[in-house]
Amino acid sequence: MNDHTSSTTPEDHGRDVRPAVDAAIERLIAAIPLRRPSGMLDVRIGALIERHTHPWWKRAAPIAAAAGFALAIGFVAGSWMSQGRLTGGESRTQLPALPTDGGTAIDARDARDAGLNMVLRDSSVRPAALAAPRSIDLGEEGALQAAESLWIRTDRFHDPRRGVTIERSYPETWTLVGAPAAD
Amino acid sequence: MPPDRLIADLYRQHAQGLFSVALAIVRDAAIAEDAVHDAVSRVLDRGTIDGDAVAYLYASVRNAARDLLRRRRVRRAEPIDDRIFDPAWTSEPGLSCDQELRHALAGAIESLPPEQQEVLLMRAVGRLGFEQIAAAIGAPLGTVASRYSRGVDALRHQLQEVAQ
Repeated sequence: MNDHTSSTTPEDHGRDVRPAVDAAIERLIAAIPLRRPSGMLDVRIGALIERHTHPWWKRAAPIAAAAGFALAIGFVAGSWMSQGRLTGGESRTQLPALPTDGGTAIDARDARDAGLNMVLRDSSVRPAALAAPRSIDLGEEGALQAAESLWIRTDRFHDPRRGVTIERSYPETWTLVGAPAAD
Repeated sequence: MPPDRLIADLYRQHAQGLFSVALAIVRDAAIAEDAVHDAVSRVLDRGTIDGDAVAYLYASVRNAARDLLRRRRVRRAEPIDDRIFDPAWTSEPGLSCDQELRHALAGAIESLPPEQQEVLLMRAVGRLGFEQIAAAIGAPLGTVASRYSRGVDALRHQLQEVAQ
């Protein structure tokens, strides 16, 4: 055996042991107690991440969606799909179709001698119609004449010709206020 | 994985390493915490992570710490508590042999040039690979290896003196 082939120079030996020494030093460094961040840093980072995971608009979204849904339901129930009913006397007369005004359609109505019974349905959403009262002309025979100012989303109608005022109490009940003028 | 979830996981794993690297740069625990906070905030605001996520987070902390250090140099006049290692431990009386060694090592690390210090801390505390360290500090791999080697050599020399 040639000793020369198996011998190592100091440099070779250094190269061989160096990774082990480096690893030992790394382990020593890792074993030294380091200064630790305060608990507040964890809290601050946690809050940061929470804000990014659930930003205010995401947190508010379910509430906004629920509010929007409730508004939409209320809007539809209060106007588009709502029906108003005026109740009164005995006999009933079917009236011809009434003209519509813009988005307002009246798909069924009855008139009675001693009063009126009408079913109204608004086919459109007209926010401007929220103002009340509005006037309507109930006509000679108690027929509902769709006046320009007729919007079903009002809560109170007044017929100046007959002196009849109709009030709506939600959701679907209409009440005749004051006796209609006698023919 | 969403970036915020990824960053939350990375922070949990590397909070100590990130803080230590920041502390090695700014030498003030409160400012180091601010640096970590700023870095995480910036990464979250950006929404995306380029390349290695761990290296990216360390790079962000390093940049934030340097930004704060520049501001501190202008504003701060009071003395700062500049130790990287736990001061309660380093001042502990009656150290055993092993503790003495580590005590000497802690002092040696704190006396290293900052660029060697951060490489050693990333390697030993953060458990980063050399490629990750290179990405984090924006230096070639050879530079990282060289800084690490010089740092370890200096520590070895210090430890030999303690042993003798």
